[in-house]
Amino acid sequence: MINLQPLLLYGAFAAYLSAILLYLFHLVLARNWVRRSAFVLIMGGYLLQTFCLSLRWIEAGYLPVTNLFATQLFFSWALATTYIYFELRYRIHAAGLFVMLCNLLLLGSALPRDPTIPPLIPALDTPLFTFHVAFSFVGYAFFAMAFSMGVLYLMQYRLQTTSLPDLALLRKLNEEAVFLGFCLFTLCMILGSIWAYVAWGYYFSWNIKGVWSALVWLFYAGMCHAKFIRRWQGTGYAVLSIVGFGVVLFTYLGIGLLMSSNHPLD
Amino acid sequence: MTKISLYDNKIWKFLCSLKLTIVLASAATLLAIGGSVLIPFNPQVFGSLDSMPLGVWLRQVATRQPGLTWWIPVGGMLVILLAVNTLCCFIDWLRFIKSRWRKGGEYLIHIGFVLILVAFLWGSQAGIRSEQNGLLVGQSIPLPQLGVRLTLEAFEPVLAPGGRPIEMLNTLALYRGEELVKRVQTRSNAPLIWQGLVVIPTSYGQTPRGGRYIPYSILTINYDPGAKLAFAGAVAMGCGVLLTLISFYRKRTRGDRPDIV
Repeated sequence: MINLQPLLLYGAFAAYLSAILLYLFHLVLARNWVRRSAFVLIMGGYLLQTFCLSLRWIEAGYLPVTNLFATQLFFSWALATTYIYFELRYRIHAAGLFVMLCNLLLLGSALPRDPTIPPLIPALDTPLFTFHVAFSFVGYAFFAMAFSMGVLYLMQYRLQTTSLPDLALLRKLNEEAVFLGFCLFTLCMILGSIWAYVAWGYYFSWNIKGVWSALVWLFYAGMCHAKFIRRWQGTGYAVLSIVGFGVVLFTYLGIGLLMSSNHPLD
Repeated sequence: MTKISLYDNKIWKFLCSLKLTIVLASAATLLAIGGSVLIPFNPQVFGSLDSMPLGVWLRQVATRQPGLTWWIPVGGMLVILLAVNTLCCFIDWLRFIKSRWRKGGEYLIHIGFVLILVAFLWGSQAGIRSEQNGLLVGQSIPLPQLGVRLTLEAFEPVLAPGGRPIEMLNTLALYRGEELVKRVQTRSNAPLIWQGLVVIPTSYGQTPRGGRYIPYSILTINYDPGAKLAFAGAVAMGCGVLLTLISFYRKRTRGDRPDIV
């Protein structure tokens, strides 16, 4: 397994990188075989990554997401899952390029790190931990997709190009990504609160991570309402998606790496 | 004489308005973003926030540093107003439930949020938090607020190879007079929970007795009368999310996308 892991991860990285290059090629030449090949490569990379994650899970006996390498690997897998969901559902093709670029960056920056799985401390030995983290990262991945759709919406609004999906579809995808991300993040918050109660004796912590997670929830709860207000539809919603992902990134990486919190990454 | 409906006026419409939701959620978010940046840089002020109920902290700590802490009560007021707005929307939905029942999932999330906030405020005012309670095996602590006493009946710390405690196996019992109310063997993520009381073993120490050192357990004893209500809110919210997801995919399958007002 130890020898197999780098092979699987570098294989997944190479597949994702090739897929992104093919999608860029497709943006210029618009060839169907290029697009199809890119998606086959993404599926290949995703299978390798899923296999690696499963092996690590089996070896550890728990979902290994307790340090920076492991969370990057899982977040990258969640981003790929989100991309595949939207590709299969809406055929977004190169429109999901940003999410795959994020995925590549996360996976690429994780590769040089130490992949050793730390022993599980008893405090983390609960299904609440597994589901809390899984819902959190899949929620984050949908917020990343919303960011991507927001950026593309603003580009399409200015460029009016046929290379990108039309504004109506981009808006629909953005709203769906925010909605699904919010639902999953709500489940993450509920399970995290129950876990906090049995582990610390209170269900809301004033630690900076707790406060910012509540802020992420409140921000996207507001977004789920903003789509019903005409002034915030379209461009305004796209801008909010971009701002929201900034809040998400700070909550995950900014607080995890730069500040002392009860959710340390390293 | 015309009968004036409670719901058919500008104040009710304002209280239920979506724009009010956006304004309050945005204001609370922006305020908390700015205010929370102060938390890591002022541990002497904010470090005790988790070790006492919010109401006690506001009275004992925040009043001494109003310049650093004003954003917490102001943000709290905005969130309370948001909960009032959410509750009004929920009541308004109930009035038309026959035609709007498909939105049940969304409104379960709304009422879940309101319940959790009410529970939090209740716990902040009437709750108790107590840390670093050292107990030897056989010793008791009276809990007069609940009319019971907590007894440590057995204790076994589990240590990592380096000597760091990784698990505290405690047998804890609650007695009302001589009557046993509850007995639990606690460990990580399995505390003693009873009627809003939660007892969590956090560490251990050693004390000299009869020429040798014997270990004692260090417990966190918290009481939150709103805990059950908060759990009910969490269940409502969780069910709401699942129903909303089902409803979302059913709507998409039907091609019905009622998202433009």
